[in-house]
Amino acid sequence: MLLAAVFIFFLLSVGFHAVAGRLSFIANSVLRFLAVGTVMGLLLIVWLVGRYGLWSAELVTGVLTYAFLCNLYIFLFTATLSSVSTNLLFRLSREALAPDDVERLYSGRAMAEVRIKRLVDAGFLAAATTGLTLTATGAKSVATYGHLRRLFKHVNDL
Amino acid sequence: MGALYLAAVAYLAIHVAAYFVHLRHLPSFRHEGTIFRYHAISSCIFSAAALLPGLVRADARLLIAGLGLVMLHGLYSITFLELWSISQIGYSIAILAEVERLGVATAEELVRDLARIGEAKKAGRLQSLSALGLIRLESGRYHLTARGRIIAGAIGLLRWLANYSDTG
Repeated sequence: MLLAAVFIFFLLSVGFHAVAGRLSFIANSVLRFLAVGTVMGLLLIVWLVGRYGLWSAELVTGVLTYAFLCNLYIFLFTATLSSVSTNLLFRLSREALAPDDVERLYSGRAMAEVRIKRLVDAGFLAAATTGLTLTATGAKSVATYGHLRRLFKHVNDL
Repeated sequence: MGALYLAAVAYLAIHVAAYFVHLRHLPSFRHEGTIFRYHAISSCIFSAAALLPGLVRADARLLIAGLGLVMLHGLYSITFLELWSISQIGYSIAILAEVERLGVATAEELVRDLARIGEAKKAGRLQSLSALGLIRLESGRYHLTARGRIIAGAIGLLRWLANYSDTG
């Protein structure tokens, strides 16, 4: 019963995420899911407390399972956009490609162009008359990822 | 039950501390495979230890608590792996870092400077997908295998749910 309820709340979050994407009131798909996922998560907590009580293992497990499913979902759907391999598989599901087509569609140049456009659309880069500049959000992201790179000891290959 | 939660949190604290204090300095821990194994092995051992008390005592509440802890490890591992992987190979972050370095950059400059990252990402992907049995080269064109179609279907569903329309 507990896991079934958690799974239903999760599926409702995913469903509302799909609906919210078509209504387009939040441009960023991750923020969109966080918005609907948080609301559904709070409703789940209310339901769990009502059924199992505040100090119960069921409440803790329910919340953790829901959080895990949401995190996994975010990880998976963001990977479908950012990963070259998943993009390639998705494109191949629509049409067979010759090696030359792959070379052209997934050239370093084409991939850079797509990502620059996404960064402008998402508000990380601003298009000025002189060129592209970082927005405050973009600058914050660079700083955050700089900290992460140092934290994880990644070699400086950017 | 409290002791189980406490032991689990202590274990995860030690696991993350071991990485940040010592393991991250080792060259082998700069590889994705090593990081993945570090979490996968830990997850298996942790899950067995979390579920065993409930199974041995046939205690449903203890088993539910154990299941919650398995999810806690999953949550921790996915978050860790996601942050590790994004900060290592994030193409978009590389673009932002380049704009920060240059101050102002035209799209053309960025494309020229960063195209090499895209080339590096593409290199070997076809071979990897082929080795995994997801695609095959037939009559001069790449096609999905039966397994590849299942994976591509799942990708299509996720993209539809997130309302993604472009590719690349």
